[in-house]
Amino acid sequence: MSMKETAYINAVARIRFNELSLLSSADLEQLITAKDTKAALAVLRDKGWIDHEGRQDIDDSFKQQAEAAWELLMEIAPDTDELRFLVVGNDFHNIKAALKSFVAQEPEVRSFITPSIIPPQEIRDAIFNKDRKDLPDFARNAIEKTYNVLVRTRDGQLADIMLDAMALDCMAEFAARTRSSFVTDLVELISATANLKIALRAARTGKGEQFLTDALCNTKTISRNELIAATLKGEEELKAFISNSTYGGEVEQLQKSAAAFEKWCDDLIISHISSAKYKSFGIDPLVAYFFAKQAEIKSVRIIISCKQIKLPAEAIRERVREIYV
Amino acid sequence: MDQYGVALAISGAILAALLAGIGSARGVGMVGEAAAGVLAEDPSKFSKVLILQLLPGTQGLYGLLTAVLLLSQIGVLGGEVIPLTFSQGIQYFMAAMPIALVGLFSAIYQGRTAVAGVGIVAKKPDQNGKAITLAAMVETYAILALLVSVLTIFSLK
Repeated sequence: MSMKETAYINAVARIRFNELSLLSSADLEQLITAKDTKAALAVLRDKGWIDHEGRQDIDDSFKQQAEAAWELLMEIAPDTDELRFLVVGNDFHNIKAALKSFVAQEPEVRSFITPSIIPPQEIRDAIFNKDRKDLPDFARNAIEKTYNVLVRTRDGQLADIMLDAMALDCMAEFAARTRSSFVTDLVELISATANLKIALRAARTGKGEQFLTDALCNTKTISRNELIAATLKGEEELKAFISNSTYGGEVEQLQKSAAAFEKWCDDLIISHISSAKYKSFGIDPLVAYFFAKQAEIKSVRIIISCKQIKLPAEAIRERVREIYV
Repeated sequence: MDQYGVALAISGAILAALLAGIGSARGVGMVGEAAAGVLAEDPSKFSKVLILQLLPGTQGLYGLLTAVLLLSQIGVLGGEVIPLTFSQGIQYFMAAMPIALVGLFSAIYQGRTAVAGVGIVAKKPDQNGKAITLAAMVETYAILALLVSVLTIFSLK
């Protein structure tokens, strides 16, 4: 048993207690079968999710729930740097949002998301004041690369896909520092499924090789070059390629719809993190808790949205993600 | 060589107390960390986690008991040290090894099991009896080692 493993004993015990506050499948079923949005919000209020009913409050509570989970991890983790990979994707999103505002000459950036490693306002100021020296390396490099592309090409979509690919590569780099195979396998799963989503969309819209080279991140389970080659040959060839890969099981989901595939990817992550429920040592239960919270937020968001457009319970059930607890 | 007989016997006693004590300190410390995590969230679970924390502490007591018996057998505690040959010294030394080594490792493994048990208490406090039973199972081997050490010490002349 390594010192690193035992360093998380206290944090894991606190996570076990906090797992009690995650919504159970019975809670989600109660939300699904609530007679309307108001009744669903009342259920969430009973569970301590929101203080008052109303559309504005539920949006705030999604944000608060995500931030509270992150704050808990920051409070209990013996080495907070090891958990940076969980939110680094939000930093890249914030860079994207700030760059777009900068290019459009809109001083106020509206779509920042939290939690993040760097306070969003610092990213905004660094981009608008062209003073990036105080930013961490990953953010500085990402801004410089994307800024140059934006200035040269004025192609916002290219900048977006470059940042998305850089975010996944950065996430993998940070995850490798944890030296936990649970974490690195999880990030590999996220990166590989993200690549598959991009490849499928690219095959359908007939994107070229340069787009794929810029958009796809590096993964171990699926060769990037082989994926590019299969995508360039068309959708059917890509599906055949995927069916022969580690992710062969998802071809069926791919054929159903993009939403079904998205759900399959999320459920795959929950399935992977489930093993952490039985671990008492190491970083894994903390990581699993964060992903469980994200999945829970996504499910609640889906249920509330479906309730607002009055979808039947059966249709909502098909869209709701697997849960961790 | 015979001059080392008593030194060897005393070394055995010291190792019994030392290694079993280290194991217990490690085990109790680990469970204490986990227990503190649960108590930070819910202080009402103190009595439940305390029992789990105490379990890996017994190996240290077994080591101490073995050391006291051994030192008493060779007259160190009585004030009149019995001269021992090198061979007798080795015998006493080896007699202390079961509890020294099994005590060290069983306390650490019992600590691990108890840490997992604290997780059970955190999520399902009504199941703490099962958590205690699982951790207590590891104790069996420490008791067996204690028996072997004590019986061997008493059988040596």
